[in-house]
Amino acid sequence: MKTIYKKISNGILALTTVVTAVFSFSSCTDYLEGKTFLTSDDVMIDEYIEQKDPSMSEFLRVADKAGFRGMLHAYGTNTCFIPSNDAIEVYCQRQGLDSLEELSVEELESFVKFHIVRDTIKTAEFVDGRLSTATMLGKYLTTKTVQEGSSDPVIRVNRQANIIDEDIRAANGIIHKIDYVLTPNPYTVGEMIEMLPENYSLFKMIMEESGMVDTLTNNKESGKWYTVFLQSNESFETAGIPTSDLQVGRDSILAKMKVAQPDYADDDAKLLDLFSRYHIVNRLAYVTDLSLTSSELSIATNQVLTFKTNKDSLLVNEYQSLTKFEKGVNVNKASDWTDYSCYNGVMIDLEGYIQPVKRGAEAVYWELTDQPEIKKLKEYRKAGSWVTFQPGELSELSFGGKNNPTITYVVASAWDVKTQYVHGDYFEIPMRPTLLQWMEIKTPVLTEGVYNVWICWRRGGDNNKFKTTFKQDGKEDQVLPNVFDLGEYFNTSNTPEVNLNNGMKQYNAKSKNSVVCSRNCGAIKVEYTGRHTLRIDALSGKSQAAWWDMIQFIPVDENQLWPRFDNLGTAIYPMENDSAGVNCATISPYDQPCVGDLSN
Amino acid sequence: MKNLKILFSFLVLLLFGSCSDWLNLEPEDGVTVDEFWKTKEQVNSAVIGCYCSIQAGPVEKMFLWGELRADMVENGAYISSSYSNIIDGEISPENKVVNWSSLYTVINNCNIVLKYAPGVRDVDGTFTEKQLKAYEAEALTVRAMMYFYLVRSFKDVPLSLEAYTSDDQDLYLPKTSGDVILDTLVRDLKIAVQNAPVSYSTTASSKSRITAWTARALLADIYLWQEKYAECAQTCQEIIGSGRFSMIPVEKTLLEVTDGGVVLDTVTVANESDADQMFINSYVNGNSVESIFEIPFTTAENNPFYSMLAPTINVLRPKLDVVDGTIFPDPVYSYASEATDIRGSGCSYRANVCWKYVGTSRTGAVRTATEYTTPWIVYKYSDVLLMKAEAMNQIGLHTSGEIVQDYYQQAIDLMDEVRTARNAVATPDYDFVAGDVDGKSLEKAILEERAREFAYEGKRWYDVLRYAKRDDYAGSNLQYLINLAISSASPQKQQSLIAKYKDPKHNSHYWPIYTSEIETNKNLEQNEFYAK
Repeated sequence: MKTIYKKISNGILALTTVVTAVFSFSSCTDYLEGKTFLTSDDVMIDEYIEQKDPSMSEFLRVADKAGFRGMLHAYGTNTCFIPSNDAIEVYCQRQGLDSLEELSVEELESFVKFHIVRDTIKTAEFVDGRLSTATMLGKYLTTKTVQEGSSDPVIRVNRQANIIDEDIRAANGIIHKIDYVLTPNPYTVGEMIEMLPENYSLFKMIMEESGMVDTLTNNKESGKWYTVFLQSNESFETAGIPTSDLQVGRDSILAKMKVAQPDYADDDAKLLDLFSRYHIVNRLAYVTDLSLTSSELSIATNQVLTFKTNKDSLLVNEYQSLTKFEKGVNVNKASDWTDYSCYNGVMIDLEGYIQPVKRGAEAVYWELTDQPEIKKLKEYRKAGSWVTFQPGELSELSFGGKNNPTITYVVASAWDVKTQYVHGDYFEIPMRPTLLQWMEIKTPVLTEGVYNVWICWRRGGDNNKFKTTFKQDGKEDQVLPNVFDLGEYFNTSNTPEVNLNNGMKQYNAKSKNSVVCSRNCGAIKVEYTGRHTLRIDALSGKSQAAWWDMIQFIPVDENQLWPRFDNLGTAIYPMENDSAGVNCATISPYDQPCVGDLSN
Repeated sequence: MKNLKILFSFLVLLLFGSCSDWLNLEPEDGVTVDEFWKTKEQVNSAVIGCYCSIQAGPVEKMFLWGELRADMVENGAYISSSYSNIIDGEISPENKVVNWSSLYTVINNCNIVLKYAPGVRDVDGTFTEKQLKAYEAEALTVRAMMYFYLVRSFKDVPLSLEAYTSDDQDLYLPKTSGDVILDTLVRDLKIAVQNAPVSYSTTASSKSRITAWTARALLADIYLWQEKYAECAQTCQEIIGSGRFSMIPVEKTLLEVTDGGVVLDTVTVANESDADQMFINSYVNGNSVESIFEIPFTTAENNPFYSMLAPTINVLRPKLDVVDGTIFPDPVYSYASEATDIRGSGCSYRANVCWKYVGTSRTGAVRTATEYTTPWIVYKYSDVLLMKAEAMNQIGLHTSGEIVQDYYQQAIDLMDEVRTARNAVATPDYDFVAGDVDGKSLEKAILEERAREFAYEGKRWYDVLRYAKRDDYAGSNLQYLINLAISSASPQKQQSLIAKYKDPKHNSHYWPIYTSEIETNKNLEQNEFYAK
């Protein structure tokens, strides 16, 4: 493309640069005027306070007395939240002290430790939640920008103090000057539950009865954290559980629990224990942390809470499968009790009711190509298209290896006995130790149970083998027993039963073919509902790529052979009481003849 | 100092980097003021220089300033902290994105033309008054364009209308109120509208040099920002009435949606090859019939997008959860999935790439590193149609009586001209019943139409801010910005960003002034929100 600009004589093009200079250093002579240059202007945190901002001197005095002066003067990485002298004065007045020096050295030490984080954290790195590193006291500080009434937005720390001067840099760290003293919540989650207002009475009663309040009160050693999901009486009411009479409310919860957990229908104590444990997670998780995960294991065995961010709300326990949809409940972000730090954890308030659920194993017939990025493509399921992906471009299918491996999404241009892909689309994957060495696939939601994992593909190459590992957070990895050979052919002369015994089956409905295969990698045990990971590692081979279509997760006690799928994605089942089996004319492409065993 | 001569020479800066050399030497290869400004050809060259200086830096700013704070881009696989901080609302004066110097370079180049061009008439007898006025109109308009970007981004900025050609000038200008600057720009543009050429000898020149239509489009845009709706509509109408621009036609076929043989509805499917022509004419070849003013790029002078948007670089990418399915709604009927907006997948974005700047056609290959030549479109015909639609909608909202529905209908007709040409998806949000139109719903609909039409063309943030600040943030207007925060910030920053947008003085809606500017110019006051 040719444009007019370039036709002009070269000398003039340089017009461009004149004024960068004008605005950045107006004139040469006074460039150095009015500035003092030091060989090094690094000052340590304590020096900064002494030399540049004496309004924080009181804190320095306390630090001195508590023995922290050396640290504030040494090189290191610190973030200090330093209350101004006024802030300390107000704090002393409220505590009935003349000055902080009335406190013991131990008390002063804790005081100082709660104001220092051994990491440099600029305000730009703050999140709406806790800081990434704990204070020297071992407790975390929370931060959040708030705007109230007609005042300017401010950053509030630990719900107690506002930052009045931020990101002051010293050689050994960062100072954030604050307008009030920070004090850790001395109460454990258990104690805080006891102190909750009247509208948490039913939750309080259940947690006491199950003994969980004691657990949450007594376990306070460092490094032990709890996140507790609160149920207000209002949240119980949303599920029709009355709270005006607590005994009636308790019975109502038990009634619901009996339906969900029939194994324990006769054991009220066990049900209340399960219910209570389901509201506790063994980790410090503020709303922000929860919004970045998809699930958290509760301390009720193998019971998870799932999380989903939807615009500005955080949904707990939304669940969707082919046959079921369970509406989730919102975290009450506006509640005073959400993100409430306690001595050994944090509380999160819910708007609705949650309880442990027992879902049976459900078969998932999954098209591997249905990746979120691919569904957005114009080429998605459009015959004759292809798009190549580099590592990192598919958020739920990561891969890597040597020599820049890529995965290509392809849609076959026409149906053919050898391209019987469901919806015509597939991945071309060059799985081999010299190229694409590994990939990790995020599965669809799998409910708890034992499943066979079937990979459905068109064979390719020779001796390209891999092993498969099933991973779920917090559980041991399961290596699947069968080593997979992508070059294997489907034996079309065996009966389906013989093939099944050999771990192979026909997954495509129209026409069995020796290159269209499905192999059972082995069984996995899904211990809790959620999206887990399948990892594939190349073991051997150096020949061409193979073409991947589906991955099926079929409960081991269900029919492994049916349904098969046609090229429109329709699940095809053999007709009962009909020796002719499936009607070939109902299988797309309708004008093609069927080949194979249609009845079993 | 006084006998210092040069300063208007350009190559000087390139040749002699250091300050002392620059002071002591007469340029050897450069051109001095005394030698330059002798002929009208030189005036022309200087004006071309103004355009070149837009290519060199401001286009990148126009993109980043218009998109980073909005909701249509997100961090790619390789994160640039200066971009990601802005996306999260952590904007600091040290962030190089807020450096405005390249825009002031253009401004000064224009000021130089305005200062010296009149003198050329004394020495070049063939240089007519009319030609002079035309060149001045170009410089005035380019300068106004830069200031309009600055005012919308920073609110109050130094207003320099004098050329800096000598060292003893006062360079330490304080800020001038944005409102005052806009009034100045309106005054300048009224002159430019009169004097700028209606067209040039080639189509390429007519699209990449200032015409009277560019001056009008810019003027209309400023009027809209100033909330002078009657003036805006009038100015837009002058462009529409000229008949010089039109939407690229796209043929469509009707598809019946049936259930058991009963026709329930019809949807339209755009002709794929026409859709591709729209893409190629607008974003590959450039100079389309829709274009009013664009900054062209060549293989010798690439646009700045390779280093941000190329799939192999992947620093910024479309925020698909917002763009795909929300801003560009899914087809109304999933089984008629071909009935989509031609601006969506395959045009504005494709998978996780901002396709406009990266693709060679709707489904074609990715550009190679040296082929980033997509023009930067500043104004196109649809902008004029939608600006007028917005103005008519606002006139309606600020009027009472039955006439209001007439205004709304005019707005809808204008918007529909764009929607029809792009085969926009007919969602219920656009199902306006004549005579019973809710003005506020229409207001929102126009904003979303703009998001689709100008995706990644550097307009989104300014559009949303204009909506939010309207009538001094009256009613729930601020919600437009808050919704933007909800859909753009990462979850762990969202509530903080909302709190920042609630700044009662609204200073957080504008950029901080870049640190080095504050340090060198003592008269410059930092935006209060960032001045802690």
